Parts: sequence; structure tokens; C-alpha cells
Amino acid sequence: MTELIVDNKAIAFIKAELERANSPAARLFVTGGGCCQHLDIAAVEKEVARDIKHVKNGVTFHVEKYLDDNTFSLEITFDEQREILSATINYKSV
Amino acid sequence: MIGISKLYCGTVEPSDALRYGRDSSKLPSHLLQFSKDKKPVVVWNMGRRCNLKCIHCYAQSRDIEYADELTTQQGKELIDDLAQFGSPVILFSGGEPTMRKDLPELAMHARDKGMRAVISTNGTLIDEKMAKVLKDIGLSYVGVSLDGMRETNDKFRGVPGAFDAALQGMRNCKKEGIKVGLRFTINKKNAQDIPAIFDLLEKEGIPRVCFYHLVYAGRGSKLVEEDLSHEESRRVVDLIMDKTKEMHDKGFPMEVLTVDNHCDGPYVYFRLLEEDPERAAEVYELLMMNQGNSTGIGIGCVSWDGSVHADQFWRHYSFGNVKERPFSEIWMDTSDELMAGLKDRKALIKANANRCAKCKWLEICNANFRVRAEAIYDNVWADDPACYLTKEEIGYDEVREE
Repeated sequence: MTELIVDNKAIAFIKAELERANSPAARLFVTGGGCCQHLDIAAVEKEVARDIKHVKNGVTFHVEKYLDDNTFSLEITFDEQREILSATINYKSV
Repeated sequence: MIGISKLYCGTVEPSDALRYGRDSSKLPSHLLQFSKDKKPVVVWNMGRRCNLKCIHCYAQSRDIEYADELTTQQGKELIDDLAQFGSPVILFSGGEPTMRKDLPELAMHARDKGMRAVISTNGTLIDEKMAKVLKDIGLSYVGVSLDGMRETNDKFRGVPGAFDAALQGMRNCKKEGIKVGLRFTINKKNAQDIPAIFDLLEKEGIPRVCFYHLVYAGRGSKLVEEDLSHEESRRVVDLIMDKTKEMHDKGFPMEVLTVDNHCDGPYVYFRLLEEDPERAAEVYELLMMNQGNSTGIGIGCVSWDGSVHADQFWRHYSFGNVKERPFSEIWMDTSDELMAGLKDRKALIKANANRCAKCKWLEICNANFRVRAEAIYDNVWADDPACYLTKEEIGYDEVREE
């Protein structure tokens, strides 16, 4: 992945969540499969397996390798109305 | 849900990348939720009516009109509530969802509200015209159920010709560029067809299959005796791993998942320990990220009549009805003992179960399927009878009584 884009409000929300969980980093990964496949985020102590590390505005993100390999960019924004993060994935053509 | 291809072969199915590539802005965005805020994927059995007569149907559906189903307007209100609540995915199921004339309207409404919309269908009614409709809706996934090759499937489905019609439905979806996958519920009478199912998918160019372990509920409860023995389950999971690897090695990497029995995760790990210890260590870390069974947590169900259930198998217990209270309120109301227990079950498991209470994989499987425990032991918090791991594998004797 060439670019991880995280807006300022999303950064603030994630920082607060990591502080609450007393975790140094967030992990971005694909969860479920088939009909239920979707992107997920978790507070983690360290990278898992072959995750790729990205740092944005002081927040460490470990991105699942396969997700990182198959995307140009991943953009995370904060939906203020619902107080939820959402992500748009820009896949590479395979 | 255990990703066999991801854990055993180290591959992630790149279907979205294949389908969309540089056009991925067409995909709906993903909601990202930390575990404490996680909202459920919701299965909406939008109509009970079905054109098939499957012997293991949890909805016990028939091809008749049913009363009291949610109206189109009530369906839209449900979707509005789920979208506001933050449910990441709505799965339209049935009965047979394509028999509801307002499926396109409701699915597009879900999409317009930013939800990922998928359907679970028997596929038999997806002709070219319906496939175009599904394409226009912008569904993220169409899961088609086949429970064996032609003879086996049609016996289960209760209708001759169901296999050919479902296969044609999958072909029509594929032709329209819709992400389509096969759903297969494993039991004693169809396990022998699994190798042929892999060959069929390869021949049809459909690189996606979910194998469901049997869950004893609804009409399925009569099928307890049709479930595999523990030894048979182990052989079947081995077979699925073997076939997944074979397809991977021959250049047809498939997304292969097993569903409804979380002990498959540790079982894959044990096999990798023997075959590839370095990969096994990675898989162990990945399994630790898996939060196990999420009935009442990460998955929920709304029946055709609006009843809310812990998942699609808990149809005999309702937490309330969306005609009276929004799903979001019902789901967060832990004054119901079952809802509270499912959301935070470990203490109840420790107090009631035997093997599950002493199992070292409890954090990974979250005590597996509670509805099966209830079906066999009449105790929701007893052991899941379908767990096929040995006492040695679960570390049973490593735990001392305090």
C-alpha cells in the first residue's frame, strides 16, 4: 500500500481508543469471509504474522500483509453523526 | 468462521481487487469498529416462503403465503435503524429472498444507507433477468446453497432439478460480474461429495466456498443423527485442507471457509505444527485475533415476522420484535439473561461446562455454539457436543481443580 490516509478526527478517535485499551497500536485486517467479509480494526500490543507497519500522526497501524499488498490506498474517516470510523479501500488491479 | 485458505495456505481471496481494481470507489465503505463497540452483521430472514423443501431448513419454509411478515415500509425502518446503529452488513435471507418482490427496493435502500448488502439464496430463481437486477442493486455478495452434487443435493432440496437450476443461477451471477460463492452444509449423507464440489467450482471458475457444520436447530434438530462423528469431522476438515492446498498449488487459489464450528481453527494449527512450524506460529497469532463464536455479539437475526434472535438458529427464543422496539434497543438490552449471557459467557461456561470450562482454546472459540449445547444437554452453557478436539488437544488434564 502506498498510502494510508486517516483524517484528523479519525486519528483523535483512534488515539482515545488505544489509550483506553492501553495499547500502543491499531491493527487493520480483513475479517470474516464470503458474505460477511469486511474490514476490521483492533487495539494490539504488536504486529501479527507479517503485518506492515504504518505511522500516521503519531499513531502506529499494523496493516495485514495481504491487505497492504493488494491496495493502493486505504482512507479512514470519522462519521461524526454515528461516531463510527469508516474506510474506503482503493484496490490494485490484479 | 475459519478461513482455511487464509490459515492453511496463507492466501487471502483477492476477489474485490479482481472485480473492481481501479474502480474500487464503487464499493461501499467499510465500517471500522473496535471490539467494545462492535455491532452485529444482521441476517434478515425477510420472507419465509421458499420454492424448495429442504429437509434441514431452520425456517421450515414452504411455497405458501405467510402472514405477519414485515412490510416494505417496516423493512425500510429496520434498515434505517441498523444503518444508524452501525451494523456493517445486512444479509437478506429467507425462505428464499428472491421470492419477495421488494428485495431490490430494500437492498438498494440498505446500500443507499451505506450498508454492505448480501444475499443468501438457493439460486434456483436467478435467471438472466434476475441476475441483472441483482447486479443493478449492487450487492456485495451472492451466496448460493448447494448441499452436494446433483443426486445428493436434489434429495436434500426435495425438488428434482434444483441442482441444475442453482448452478445456472451461479453462472448467471458470474456472467454479470457479481461476487458469488457456494454454501455447503456438511452431514453424513453428503460429505462424500466434497471432492466433487471442489472440482465443480474449479470447472465453473467460482473460487469461493463456505462449508457449514451442522447446527441442530429448527427442522435440523431432527438431523442430529445425521451429523458427523468427531472422527468423521476431523477427516472432513483434513479433506477440505487437502483440496484447498491442491487447488492453490495448481494455480486456482480459492477462498475456502468453514463455519459454525470454531474448533476447526486449533485443528488447522495442530496440522501446521507438524507440517510447517513457522507458519503454525503465525496461525496461532491470527487465531488469537479471532474472537470465536459471536452469537448475540457480532451476528444477529431478524425473522420474517420481526422477531429478534441471537442468530439464525435461535428461532425458538426471541428477545423482542422490531414492530414494537427498534433492533438497536433490543440488541443492547441485557436485562434478558440469555442476551447478557451470550455477550459475556465465559463465567457461565466455567460454572456449567466440563470440557469447554477446562479448554485452553476458550478465548479463541468463545465456547463455540451454545444452541447445540442446549439441543443436546438442555443447558445453554454446557459443552458444545460438536467439538471434536481430543482431551489432549484442549489441555483438559493441564488444568487443576482449585
